[in-house]
Amino acid sequence: MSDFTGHLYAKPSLAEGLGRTLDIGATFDCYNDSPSTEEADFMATVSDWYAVGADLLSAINAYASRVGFKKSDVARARSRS
Amino acid sequence: MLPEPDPAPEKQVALSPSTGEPEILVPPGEPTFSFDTAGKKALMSLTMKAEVHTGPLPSPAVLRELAEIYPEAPKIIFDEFKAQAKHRRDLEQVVVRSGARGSLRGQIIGGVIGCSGILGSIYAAVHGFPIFGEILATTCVVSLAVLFVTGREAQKKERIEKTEIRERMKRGDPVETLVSPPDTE
Repeated sequence: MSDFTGHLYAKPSLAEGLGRTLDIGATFDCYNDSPSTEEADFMATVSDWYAVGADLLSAINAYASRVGFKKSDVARARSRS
Repeated sequence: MLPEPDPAPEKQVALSPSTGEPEILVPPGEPTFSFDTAGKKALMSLTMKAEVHTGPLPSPAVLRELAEIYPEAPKIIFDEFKAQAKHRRDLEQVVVRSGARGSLRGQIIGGVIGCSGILGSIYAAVHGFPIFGEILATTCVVSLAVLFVTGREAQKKERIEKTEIRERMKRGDPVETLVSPPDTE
């Protein structure tokens, strides 16, 4: 999931919180903004679908592994389709 | 005698060999002829049409074809799309909330460390241990400053990596090049 979500900001963490103690100028508050609202919406939808694709890929690989296929077999089947 | 024009050819849906996206193709029919008697010209026209659909959901034509096979299919696809989006947003919310809670905990711990370090150093200096007090204060402030600098750098690096992934998604790179699936060899 982490590959395709939260693209606009860095994930908050305990270490970041410790660093924020001295962040008087709010320099930690930076975001990956988009040039337009349309592009922001587009990227949000694209990210969702990449995440769905990654889930499917993970399920395919897990199934392939369970039935004894090799990763190369899956890649070959995909290139044929 | 002019040949009768062909009826409109039926649409066909096929996967594009170059992009892999479904294309709605209208195959070229027989050319049609007409005569411009005033200008004494013979005109031949040939029509060919191709539509390309790209997007998260199947094209309306594909949905219509699926509905012919199984009438509930479009509803299932739209409902699944909605459910998956909601599920993903809920997960994101959990991840972001837990991260934000961690960050707040860090701020509180950092504040406590900084305050106790400085107060402790003042106490030590007043009670006859000025060097120890100095070391204590310096250690506290420097460690927090190091965390500030490294935290900012880590944050910047993460945002740059995410920008690169965004660019690759915008280009339409295949999903398997953006994630590292577990090795099944």
